[in-house]
Amino acid sequence: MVEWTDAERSAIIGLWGKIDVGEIGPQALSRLLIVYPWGQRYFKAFGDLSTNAAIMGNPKVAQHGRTVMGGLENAVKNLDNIKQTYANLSVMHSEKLHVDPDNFRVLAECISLCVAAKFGPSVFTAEVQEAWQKFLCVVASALGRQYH
Amino acid sequence: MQHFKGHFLLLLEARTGNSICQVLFSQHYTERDRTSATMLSNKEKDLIKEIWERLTPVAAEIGADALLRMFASYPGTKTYFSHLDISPNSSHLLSHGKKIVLAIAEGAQDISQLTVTLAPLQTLHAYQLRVDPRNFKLLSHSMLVSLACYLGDEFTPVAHAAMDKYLSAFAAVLAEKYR
Repeated sequence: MVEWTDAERSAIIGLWGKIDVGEIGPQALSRLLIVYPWGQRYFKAFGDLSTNAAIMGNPKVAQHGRTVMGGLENAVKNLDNIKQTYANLSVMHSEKLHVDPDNFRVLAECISLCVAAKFGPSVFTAEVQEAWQKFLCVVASALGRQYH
Repeated sequence: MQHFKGHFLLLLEARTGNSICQVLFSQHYTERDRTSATMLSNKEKDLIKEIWERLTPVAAEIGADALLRMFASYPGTKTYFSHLDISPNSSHLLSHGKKIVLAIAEGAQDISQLTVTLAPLQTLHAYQLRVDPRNFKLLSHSMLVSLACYLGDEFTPVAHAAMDKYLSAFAAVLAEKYR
């Protein structure tokens, strides 16, 4: 089981409270598709991803970004049971979507960078970053857990 | 035909942005150009050069910030600094952070010459410091976070992509003499 210090818990919950899922979600997913274009392989049904502008303006990308980011809500509310909380999603990403689990780590990095750019160094301190990245790492691990 | 082939390879590398592809196609480029000149467009190189030029006056602050973030998130990286005082605001941290940022900024002045510019640092890291090159990725990510924090809106997806590619190239060149 993951052990969270009190400082880590409050950092994660505090940061989550500031985050606008509708803003950060689309930004993070757009960045993944722009910075790591091979990630587009999973989004062939999303329409035009041919330019940065197309990606950033694509409504399906935005919607999916919101969905993914919104999914983190469950993890924040279940910090002591993330593995179980994400079990079904893990099966889905493996069996149905066939997503390479390394992408979870990459998306996590994009989320962190969007959060850093949005809130700056006084909010996203080294300590908050550590707690947030540990949290995203646990979520990514839970998402990859059911792969076989 | 040769021109077309070269162009096709450039397009392939631009699409994948993957350094493994670069090694496979390296026989089509000179040793000097291999890692970086082909990954980055001229616009990206100008953007990178401009950003690092602007950050040079605050090199110590940015470098120290990146190092602190790396030590906090990846405690294993601290094992290389047992001989220094790496607490926040220590003079060691600031001077070491400054060294790193200035080296990155210097490389950004002429990215096509990265292998030449970094030759002394290559030797230092390979034969003396022997930092496991997997750690370069951790510092690169931490550096990107510092940049995102300080640049805010200016850390656009285009700047992010260019910076990520540049830092990957820098790390790859730095590790070239290891084995």
